[in-house]
Amino acid sequence: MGTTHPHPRVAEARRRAMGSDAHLVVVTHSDGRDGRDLLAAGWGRIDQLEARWSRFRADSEVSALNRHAGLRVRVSHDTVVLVQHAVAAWELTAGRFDPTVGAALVGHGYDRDFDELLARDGGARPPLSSPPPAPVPGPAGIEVDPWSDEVTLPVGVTFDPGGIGKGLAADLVASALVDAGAAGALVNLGGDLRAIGTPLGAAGWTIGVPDPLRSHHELARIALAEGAVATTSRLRRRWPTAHGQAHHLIDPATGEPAETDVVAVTVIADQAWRADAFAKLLFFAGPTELARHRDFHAVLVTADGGHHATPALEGALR
Amino acid sequence: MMTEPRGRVSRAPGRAGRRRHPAAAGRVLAAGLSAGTAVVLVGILGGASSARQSGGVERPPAVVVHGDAGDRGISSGQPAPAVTPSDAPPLTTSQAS
Repeated sequence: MGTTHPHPRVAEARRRAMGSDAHLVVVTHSDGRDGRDLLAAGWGRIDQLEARWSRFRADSEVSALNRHAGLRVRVSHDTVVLVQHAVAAWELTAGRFDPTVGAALVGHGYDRDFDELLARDGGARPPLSSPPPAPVPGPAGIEVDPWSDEVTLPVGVTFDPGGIGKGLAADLVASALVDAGAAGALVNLGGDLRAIGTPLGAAGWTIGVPDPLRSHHELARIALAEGAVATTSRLRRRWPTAHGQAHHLIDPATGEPAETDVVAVTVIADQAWRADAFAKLLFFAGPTELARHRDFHAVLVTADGGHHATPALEGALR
Repeated sequence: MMTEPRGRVSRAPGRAGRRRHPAAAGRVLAAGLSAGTAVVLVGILGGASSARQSGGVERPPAVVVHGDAGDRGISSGQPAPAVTPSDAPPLTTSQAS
């Protein structure tokens, strides 16, 4: 059976999804499926996952879980997988990523889609009273029954998948695009991106990492054959409160927006949900964690402009 | 290719390998129905009774997350993917979220 595909074709599209700028790229062969059809299928799948996982939609499955904490709730298998991965990320990071920061985020004012949050009251300070510092409850006690697709949250737990949701969505959609006939695919959901299959360039998928402290500058540029990249920063998703600026990276140990010298972290790993989890680990634990791991590459930026990078990324810093 | 997390929760069977008891699907679906309403995707089920199958077949217990992640340390996983510096125009950016 011949396997030559002389004319790879590319289809790509950008739009907003999951509260972020999203970018899909599909590589197809001239004798394969139409890339535009695959893009449409990819957007459809992203919309489906957002509808199931958004904590800002009252009719989402995650909202149903949070409304009915203490009860068994039947959800789609996608949501069972999400909860499993969120708990696995908590284990993977020794609790630095925690999917139960939802109540703390709401308490600090992040109670709606971020675009709506900034637009609220014309940008005036919302009249919020931040909750007193306290550890978040943690996912111990979450019950997952994959036989019946039922999940039970303990009373008092508010589930928030955070960046793990976008990372896992990128993983699922990229894999689905290849399963559907794409030779290669890249799915970028607000900086959580997954590249799989035949890349666009001979050297791989070329990914830029913006410098968090200098607009219009890149911190690094890499070629990635296959894998995932995730970036997290406390300079994004910030909002005014009655007690000053808050940001979305809640320290599970205090339930407060983390106070750390680390400004931003970018991680390259095999899968996007893991890259996002490791980014949270490094953000909260700091650069000392870099030397302890062999399953990701990473670069951290501190408030003074300093960089800490794993060896493979040192050469890519610009 | 599906992603599967490491750790104890990942030992739960995935959809492909799962054997759903026929009676379970019917019972759970019925629990999501009430008189005169359409089927809803998310339905609140009963308590302990839903953990046991009819017909003498007992399901394995649901996976419950116990304890403290700090007790387990940080596990290693797949090796990091190969990366190389590039001067080619970037296709996309990993902007911070």
